[in-house]
Amino acid sequence: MTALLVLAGLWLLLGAVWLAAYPLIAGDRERRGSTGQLRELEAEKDRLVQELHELELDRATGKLSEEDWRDLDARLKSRAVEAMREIDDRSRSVASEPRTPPG
Amino acid sequence: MSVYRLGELALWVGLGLALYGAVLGHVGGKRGDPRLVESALRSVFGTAVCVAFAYLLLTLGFLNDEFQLAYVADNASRAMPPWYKATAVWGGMEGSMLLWALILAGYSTAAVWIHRRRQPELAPHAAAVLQTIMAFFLGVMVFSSRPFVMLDFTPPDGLGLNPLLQNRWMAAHPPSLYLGYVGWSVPFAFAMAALVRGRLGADWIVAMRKWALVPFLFLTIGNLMGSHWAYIELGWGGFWGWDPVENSAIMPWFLGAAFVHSIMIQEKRGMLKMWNIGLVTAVFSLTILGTFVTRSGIIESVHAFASTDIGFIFLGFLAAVVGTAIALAWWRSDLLRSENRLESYASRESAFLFNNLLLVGIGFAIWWGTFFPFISEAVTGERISVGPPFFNQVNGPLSIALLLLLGIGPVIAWRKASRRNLQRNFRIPLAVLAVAGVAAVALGLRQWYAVSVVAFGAFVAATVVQELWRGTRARMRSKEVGPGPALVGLIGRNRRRYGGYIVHLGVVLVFAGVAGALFVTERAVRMRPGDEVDVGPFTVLYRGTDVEGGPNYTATVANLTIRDGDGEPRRMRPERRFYPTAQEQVTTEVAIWSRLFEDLYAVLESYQPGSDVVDVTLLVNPMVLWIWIGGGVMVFGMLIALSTPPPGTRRRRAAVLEARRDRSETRAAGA
Repeated sequence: MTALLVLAGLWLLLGAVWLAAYPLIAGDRERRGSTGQLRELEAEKDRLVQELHELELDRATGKLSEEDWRDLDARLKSRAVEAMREIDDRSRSVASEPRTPPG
Repeated sequence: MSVYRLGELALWVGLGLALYGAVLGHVGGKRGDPRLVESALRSVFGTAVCVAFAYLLLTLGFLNDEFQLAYVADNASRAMPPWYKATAVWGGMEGSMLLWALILAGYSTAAVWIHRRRQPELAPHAAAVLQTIMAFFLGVMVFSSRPFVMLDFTPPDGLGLNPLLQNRWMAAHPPSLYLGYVGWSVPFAFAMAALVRGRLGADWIVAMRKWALVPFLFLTIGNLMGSHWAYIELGWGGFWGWDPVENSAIMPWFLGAAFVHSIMIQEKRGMLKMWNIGLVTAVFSLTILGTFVTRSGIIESVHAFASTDIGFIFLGFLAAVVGTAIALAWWRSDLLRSENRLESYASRESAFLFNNLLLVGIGFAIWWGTFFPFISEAVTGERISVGPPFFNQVNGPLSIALLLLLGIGPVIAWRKASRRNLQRNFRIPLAVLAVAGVAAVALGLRQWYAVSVVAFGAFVAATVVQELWRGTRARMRSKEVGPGPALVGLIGRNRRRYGGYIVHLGVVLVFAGVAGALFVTERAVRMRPGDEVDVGPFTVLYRGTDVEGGPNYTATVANLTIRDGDGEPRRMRPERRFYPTAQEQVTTEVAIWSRLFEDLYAVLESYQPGSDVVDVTLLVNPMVLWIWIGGGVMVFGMLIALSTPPPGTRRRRAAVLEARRDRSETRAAGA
């Protein structure tokens, strides 16, 4: 029984090492660069939309003057538009990238 | 071969993988090589498997009374209930290190899993930092504090866990506190990754919002549990004694609170970038320091530090953490410049800055008071201690100023508060403050601290109610709904903001509970069976003692009957317990009658066997329950803030639904 447990434990530890070494042996199957940047841009856009919503709430509860709200709102909106434009550009380039064969 | 020997092997393999990931994460991230990056990220999961396996083996050792393991023999005994055997795993230095590593493995796995897609540029470097921290703790366990040392013989029984730790709150307190300590590794790792990559905008801050809130939540729970344990177990009647171990747990809480607030300023206004890097480094360093202080005993004596190599190892790691952070911040100082300047002292930014200065000031005062005896002994050879009066005198005024800012921060305007903003947002709360202050004095309160807590607490509560009302009203107008749905919608759509306000209300309640300590009534009396004594509104009748047996102790119990006026009498049974196997230790188990506005707290100090004469200390502790209620409200508020869905969740859900609809339409067309 003890020998079996020891053997199972050794296999588990070997599995842990295999888990880390596998990508070096098997190679990478994902296109990371463009899709990763796309995700970051989408996260940025989502964050700006959330910020616009919070800005509106700050204005409604009297924590932003009308002038400050107009200024910040315009800045955030222009950044959000810029992010959306970049997302469109990247999406087109990701779609046109050739797929790497697995393995 | 004993299966427990695999524990040591698991730690070695885990150490190898951690070092591998620490190097490969940086190299792969720098080169942009996806194979190296993927391997580094997966090394985090591999290390987690090794650490979890080692922890499982040690727990099995405790549950199976495997006294050939020296650590088990030192911290458990056959008579201990299984629950305490499982929790005795972290009863000493070696097991605590393993618990640290296990929790770090959990956090690292979750952080890498979540952020490897969301922050592909930062994730490999953050994984490398997390693996470096892991390598340090595994290195300590492999070379110094070894949990799997086997004895040449098997002792018939172990020494047992310290009886003071055999309490359910103490069983839950260390894991909670460690979840709080260790969790700060993730924001620290991402801060270092942001420095390495030069990505020092709001990205890493936004990504780390929840990763800062989670350890802050657990630190809050851990500190509450610890003070509750001290209150019910130590038998001196208080909940906070400014003990070095307590202080080590509360210091990161104050700096963590500063960080949770200051990241909002970076997020909204692009300010305090360098400050945030400094804060997260300080919080992480304090968690390392706290772990070390709790287990090493260095504060008790400078000689304890020199007696083992562990002190120098921890000091070296701390120096490396702080040195690396400073060097990276220096290298990236151009990118850490503020995007905006403070435009007015009457602004939200300024209120947050003062809030940060106060929180850091309180943290520093506690650090200084805690380490002063150690420093004085190291420098002059003479040990000069500072006690609770130092901490109370310094932190009393600072905490009151903080309470005031708790009310100002949420309602003052961004950039520059106009006269109109000040009038609109502060008129009602200031009126409430004045009324509450006058009422407190009229009702007989004379201590400045208590009056300030009542007045400023009412001010904070008024600002929160006003904020809720205004937000609800705005939503009622914009969504054309009634007040109920508007309030629910308001909180649901802005959970971080309103969760934070609920935390503020909890803090006010905790302040009220703490202020109650100014009005404690205490009586120490010698009693014979049939004696009666009055304390506060209570009459206490002593009826004699009983001797009772527990699973691994014998208890002498004093039978007290309590009456409050004409109310129903109530029994209280304070005990003294004798643990024969656990170094023959005697502990005091207090009896507490907890009511909304006061606790009656009874301690059996001593008894004379045969004559039934007992020495009892009776205390009436006002408002203590409000500390635990306030703590619960704080935890509730933090959970609301944490439940905020990540930005874009709605969009992603809509995209998934649309894709499903497209698929089903395509299938239907094909059919």
